Amino acid sequence: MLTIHCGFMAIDGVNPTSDCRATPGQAAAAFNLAKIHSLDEISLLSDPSTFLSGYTLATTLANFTEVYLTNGQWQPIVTVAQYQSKVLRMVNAGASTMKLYMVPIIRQRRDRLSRGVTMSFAQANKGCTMNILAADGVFFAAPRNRSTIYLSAGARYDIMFECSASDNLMAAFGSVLFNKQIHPIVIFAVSGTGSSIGSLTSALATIAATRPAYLADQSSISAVSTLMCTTAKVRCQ
Amino acid sequence: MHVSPQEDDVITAVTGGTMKSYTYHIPADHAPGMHWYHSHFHGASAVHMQSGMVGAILVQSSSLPTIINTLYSTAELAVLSYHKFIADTYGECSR
Repeated sequence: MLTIHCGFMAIDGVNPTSDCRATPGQAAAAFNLAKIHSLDEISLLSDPSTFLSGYTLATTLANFTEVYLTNGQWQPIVTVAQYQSKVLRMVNAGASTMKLYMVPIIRQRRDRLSRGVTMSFAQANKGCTMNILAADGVFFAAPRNRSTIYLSAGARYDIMFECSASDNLMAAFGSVLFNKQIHPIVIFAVSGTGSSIGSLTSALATIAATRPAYLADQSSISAVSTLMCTTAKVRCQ
Repeated sequence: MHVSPQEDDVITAVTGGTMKSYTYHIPADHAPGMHWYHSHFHGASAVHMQSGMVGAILVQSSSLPTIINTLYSTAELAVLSYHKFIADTYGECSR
């Protein structure tokens, strides 16, 4: 068993050793978003022979290793129904930008993929649609459909996913690591049929109208403009 | 989060084995949504974050449209973190 001790804290100390354990050949356990796992526990989630994007253990240990974790978990699986609108509220709790794609996966390959087999760019952006609902804690006036997302350091996105994949397909939300290949960070398992919630444009427009005072549009407030002109010494008309 | 830079202190260092409590004043009308916290001591923030000193803060609102509440009732938090480390042949970090 590969064990790694790097000081990654287990944020949830209530039941720190349950869930999300999978041994090679077994299905991964349910995605537990309520807790953040320690690196010690992550070693239990992964096949040591392919830990870290399909690189062998020997290769991994001989080099710098880098890995994206989601809630401290290695490539966790979210189960969604077909066409179900699923929202992920994401934060890049890191110091570098992530470039994120959608990637289709065939279920038969799940065990391999969930343990780090990489995919090509040509396979990306199929199977699920992504709509950004909010950025950095502020709702957009309307959902924005995107196939690629840059999540800069510290940035937050509320992203709504809808997967058209049938029962034997999965999709991964991937980022780029290692030889320009895509490394899944969250895997969607499509199970059963759901119904789309429909257009959110009007509902989100309502939200945008109720912004707090500190996000008010101040471009037309003369008092503020005057204040800026006098204190910041900007050129004003 | 919309907090004062005097409360978001990037200079104060807390040595190992000690504790410090911070107090933040959050506006009553703060925008509902996804936010987060992390260690902010300049020069060490990245390694602190990669060591797990992060977490999510959800600001909720009772005035959101029903369709949003429905949609978000099954929303998941995903705290993405990047880790880069060296492990030796025993799988432990060598430095």
